[in-house]
Amino acid sequence: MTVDEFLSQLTDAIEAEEPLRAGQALDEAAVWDSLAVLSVVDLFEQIGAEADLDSIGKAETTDDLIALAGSAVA
Amino acid sequence: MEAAAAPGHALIIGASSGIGRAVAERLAPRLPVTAMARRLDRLEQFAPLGVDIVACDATDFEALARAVEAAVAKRGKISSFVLCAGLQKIKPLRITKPDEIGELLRVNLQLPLVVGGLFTSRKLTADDAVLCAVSSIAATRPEPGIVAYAAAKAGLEAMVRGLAREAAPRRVVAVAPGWLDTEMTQSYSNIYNEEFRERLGKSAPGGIATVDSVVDCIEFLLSPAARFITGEVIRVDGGAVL
Repeated sequence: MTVDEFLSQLTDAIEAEEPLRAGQALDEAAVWDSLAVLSVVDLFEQIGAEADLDSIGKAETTDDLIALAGSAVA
Repeated sequence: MEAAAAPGHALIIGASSGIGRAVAERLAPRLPVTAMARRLDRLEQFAPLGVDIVACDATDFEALARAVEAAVAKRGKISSFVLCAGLQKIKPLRITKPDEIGELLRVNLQLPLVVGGLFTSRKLTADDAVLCAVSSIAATRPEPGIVAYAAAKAGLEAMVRGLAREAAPRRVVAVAPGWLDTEMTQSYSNIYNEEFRERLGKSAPGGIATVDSVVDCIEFLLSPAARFITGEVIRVDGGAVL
């Protein structure tokens, strides 16, 4: 999956009001709460990325999530 | 009075892992046990214990009824009916698909209701039989991310109370474990990680419950020592819900 595709799916997953961009702060783009984190956990499972709840919860920007997704997003 | 399951025939649905497996292992030395689960290879561990093993997808309700009837024909009326089959999905309801909700309800609510119907049959169960189902503290303390699961378990608990009256003199009970280290929770290692366990350990005054502690409670509820307990759901969570 490309970075753009990931950002598009991430936008839907956390219900960001505007399309997410690389490097964007998550808590400015959407409500970055425990449910949003669970939604990203589900997205990671769908794309075959491995990251635990706490690591995702500690992410601050879209770049952090892209890094956590590892080779599933390139 | 000994808190051991009453004599007779014990039938366990969902016996291949977790609580179901531990219940089968606990009861097998003392009474005839039939262990049911979806996959036969997961049940073969019981063969040395003299347990009858039956491969059956419990959510194929017609096949389940046939399997229960066959077990009764072989080993007699059921005195202890233990329902351990369950399914959990962790995701916000907003992104849970209708089919996934249906699957959760089918395993966690419809199956108990179907089993409850079988349990009330005089042809299948002894007059003093006990049905013990496995609920969850989620039924009374639903957490974000498991709302459909919690709703189904709450329905199961309503069934326990209602069926206790409908099925009398048979007894209907349930246990409601807190978080347990089982195959089901291990499948969510990204959520139930070490940090989660540390947090839970600090919040549960009695410590994190174990599968064995839940089986202790089930064994008691199945026993004559609990003969005046019906329609009850016993929480086994080390006080985590407090």
